Amino acid sequence: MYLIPECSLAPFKHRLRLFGLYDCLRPEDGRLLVRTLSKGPTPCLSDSRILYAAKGAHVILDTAVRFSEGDENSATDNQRGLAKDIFALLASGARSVIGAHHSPKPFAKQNHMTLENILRGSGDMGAMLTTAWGIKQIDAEQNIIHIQNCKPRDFQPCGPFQIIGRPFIEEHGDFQLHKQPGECGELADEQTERDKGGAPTQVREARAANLARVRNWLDQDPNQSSEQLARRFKEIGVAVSAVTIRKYKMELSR
Amino acid sequence: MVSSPQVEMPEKLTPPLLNIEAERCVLGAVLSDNKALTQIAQQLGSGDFFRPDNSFSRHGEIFSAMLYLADQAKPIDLVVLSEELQRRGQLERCGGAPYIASLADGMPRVSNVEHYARIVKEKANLRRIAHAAERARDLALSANGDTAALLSEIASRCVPVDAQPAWQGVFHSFDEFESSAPLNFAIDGFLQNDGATMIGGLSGHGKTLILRSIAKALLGCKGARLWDLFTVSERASGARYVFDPRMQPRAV
Repeated sequence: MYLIPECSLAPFKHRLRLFGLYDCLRPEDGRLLVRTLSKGPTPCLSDSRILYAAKGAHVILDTAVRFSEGDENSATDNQRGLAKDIFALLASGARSVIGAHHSPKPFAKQNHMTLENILRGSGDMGAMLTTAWGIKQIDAEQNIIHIQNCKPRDFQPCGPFQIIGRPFIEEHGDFQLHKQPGECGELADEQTERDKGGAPTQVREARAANLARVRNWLDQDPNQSSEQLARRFKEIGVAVSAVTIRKYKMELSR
Repeated sequence: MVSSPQVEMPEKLTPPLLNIEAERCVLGAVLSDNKALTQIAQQLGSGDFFRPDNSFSRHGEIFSAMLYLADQAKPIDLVVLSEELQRRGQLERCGGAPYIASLADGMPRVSNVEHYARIVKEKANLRRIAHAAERARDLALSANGDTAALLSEIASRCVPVDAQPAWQGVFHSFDEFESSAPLNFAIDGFLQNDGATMIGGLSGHGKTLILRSIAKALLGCKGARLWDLFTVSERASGARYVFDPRMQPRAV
């Protein structure tokens, strides 16, 4: 059972064809049940029709937070709504519940995966999961995704691995293994330099250039005040405050 | 299994003290699906069924026969159950095969059997309390004035033995543990059954594509591989029953 409340029918149909899943919708197969935005607002997971249909099915929630009642950034709401509904699905006989969940934004700049940084509001929700897998796209062009298990409750998981989407999804309808466990390093080792954390490249480069200018101007006249240097920056079209220049001065004096 | 004492009835039985339909539903549920018996055997005994003529409970006798057949690992259906009642010499008193066959008629849902059993149990407990109160009244009327001795006697003789909550039903029985499936995976080493799995990642980093990839693996054949790394342990079965017009959505 695939529930995707934030996608309409046409794009989903396209993606189902892409993955070769379209035929599973046909009545003679009948193994794939789908509900998209086009069918109207998705009923809550505790709806008796959903619970009935879930019996014996793998239920996919894309994304899980769309089924929680309340603020998606609230761990309390996530816990109360989503966890309760997932338990209801399992209690009514669902084989498994598989959900996608957003990571908190700071994860973009982090180079490690934990249960806490891969799941937004995970303090309560993460605890009720059987398994959690963290993913991070480390190459947008080839759609290379780094995958790592962050919560194995009852089994010994494999090490981190990577899958690659382009051009394999278009050509063969699925990802292909890019780096297998054992061959693939931790996220910190696998991310490109740009994504390893800290400020974006252009910000770091601009800061380094400003620092070099301040060093150069102070070499010419060491007695210039921070306000004077701020005015010199303004003259060349760069907005830097006197407070920031004081920080530059402190850094240069070390 | 709980062996409940037979309940002797007060002379005037008021409607709140019995629910024949719930009793029929319990028996009908077991006839329709023998597994229902394991759900209720811990909380219900044959003595919990109403005895209309103060000496014989046909529902209690039928339930007793069901428990016996379950203990003997025999199927519980119209033929086997009738045969067992015949062996006991109680088939005719129980209404005969036509009555037993009628038990499953109009039964709302097998899945609600625990609710029906709870109703039967509650009514039985109410009858026990009513009976105990009646005995206490009789003792009080025949007392010789020694109140302390009377209270002591009432406490020892009149408290309904089986009136406490059926707490056993709250917990799993050992049989349930024994018959439950072992830990298993839909996709070995990746997706555990009977649990919740979450894929966590930033927006636009491929969560949806991965979910579709998982769906594809689940809908593939047993032994298929997810990303050439994980083996699919079972083929997802059809959910066609959902569209069966004869079936009604389950009440939640």
